[in-house]
Amino acid sequence: MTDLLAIEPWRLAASYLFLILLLIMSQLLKLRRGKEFLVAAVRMTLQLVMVGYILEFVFSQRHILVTLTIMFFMQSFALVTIFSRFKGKINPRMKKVVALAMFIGTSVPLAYFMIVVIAANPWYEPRFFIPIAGMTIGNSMTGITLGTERLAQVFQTSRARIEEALMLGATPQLAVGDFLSDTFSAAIIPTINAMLGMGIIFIPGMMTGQILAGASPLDAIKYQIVIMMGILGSVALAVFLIIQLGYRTFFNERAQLINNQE
Amino acid sequence: MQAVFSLTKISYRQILAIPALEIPAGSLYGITGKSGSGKTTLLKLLNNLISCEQSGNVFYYGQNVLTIDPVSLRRRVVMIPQSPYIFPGTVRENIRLAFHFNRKEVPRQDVIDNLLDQLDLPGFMDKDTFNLSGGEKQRLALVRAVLLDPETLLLDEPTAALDDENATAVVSHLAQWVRKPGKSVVMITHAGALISEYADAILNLARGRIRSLDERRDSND
Repeated sequence: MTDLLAIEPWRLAASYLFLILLLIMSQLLKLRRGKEFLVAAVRMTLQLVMVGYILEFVFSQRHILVTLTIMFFMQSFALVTIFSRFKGKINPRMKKVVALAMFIGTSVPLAYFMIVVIAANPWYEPRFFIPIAGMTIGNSMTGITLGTERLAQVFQTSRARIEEALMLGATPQLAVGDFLSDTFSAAIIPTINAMLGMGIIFIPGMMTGQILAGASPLDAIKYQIVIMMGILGSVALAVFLIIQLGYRTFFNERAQLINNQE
Repeated sequence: MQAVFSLTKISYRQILAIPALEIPAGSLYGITGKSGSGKTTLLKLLNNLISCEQSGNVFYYGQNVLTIDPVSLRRRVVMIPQSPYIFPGTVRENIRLAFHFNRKEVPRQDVIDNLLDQLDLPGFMDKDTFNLSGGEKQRLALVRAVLLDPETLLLDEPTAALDDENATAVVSHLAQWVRKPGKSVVMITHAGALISEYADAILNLARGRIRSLDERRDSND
């Protein structure tokens, strides 16, 4: 491994030339969105500076409670993001399922990953735990969102089909059978596509970062492979929980279809 | 006489209010009334697709439906809605799917062919349901339900999309079917003359209430 290529402050400042170019283009095209671009760049800078200092602090602590609190914060933030997307569109029981899928679907694979695959010492070592938690939670958030959206759509557009199956004597599970497998496939497709294109269509950000930081590409790919597997496990478990527990929230205890918001 | 359904103090939202009603077992029971009179709601209550939230009880052969497993009840009491959903694929696949949902073995081919003939769907077994007319779809839904051989059939306007000839064929078939031991039919209809000819009793609903009940003959006759 070679040394990290340090970026001196003036070179960091020089990178903002691209922002200036964008602002000039915006002016030339009379886009009137210069302020928006500037705010985005300033926000990105401030957020990263803030997270940099927070991570410096967290990495120096190496305390299980600090690590777990940060993971809980990330999971909660992901949940708030999902809920805001489905405001008024999913029932309270479905919200509980989404929360369960997020917490169980990300925590269990993460624990396995840290203890068995990475074998970090200690297992909660924040330098490994937090970036990996961020990647699994972020990807699971996408899977959960897609799964929930698709499930809600199924019960909206295929209500007549499901009710017909119930009238013919189907259990709720039989009545929605095919829809569940379709929903599962649709929700994990982004993860599968990412795996298919990896290394050929794009070099993943984490691997790029490691190579830039001086790691050998052969070491970087090992990390990338295990992390993709971790993400796959987490997304698959979260989506599985969403569909297996989620479809039940559209029925009551009398195996009757209920309205979405009831 | 034993009742297939007994209803007491039924009150469902602002749609239905029935103090007491007994539907005799072994009968072809007609329900008539204008749109919005609560006919479909009554049928859904009997099929346990909805339950009384405010008050009232529905009994099936004397047992409160709330104490019967809802899925096993629907396997004994099969309902066909006004616009039945026909699954994509062939007639054969539709029949197979109905038996898959009902967890029963598909009957012999000659039994199926015989019923298809009786309901004017001869040689339709491998026909794509996409190409069926409204009336053919309605009769296919009836074939699917009758083949399941439930104890009770609940039918929401099964003749609505049929011409007179087919409507008569369907209702007379139901009138024969209900004479088999342990069978009952509750049928919503607007075909006044037809139901007058075949029904054992006719209930008329208006604004969710019983307007009249014409018990024409003892179903055990």
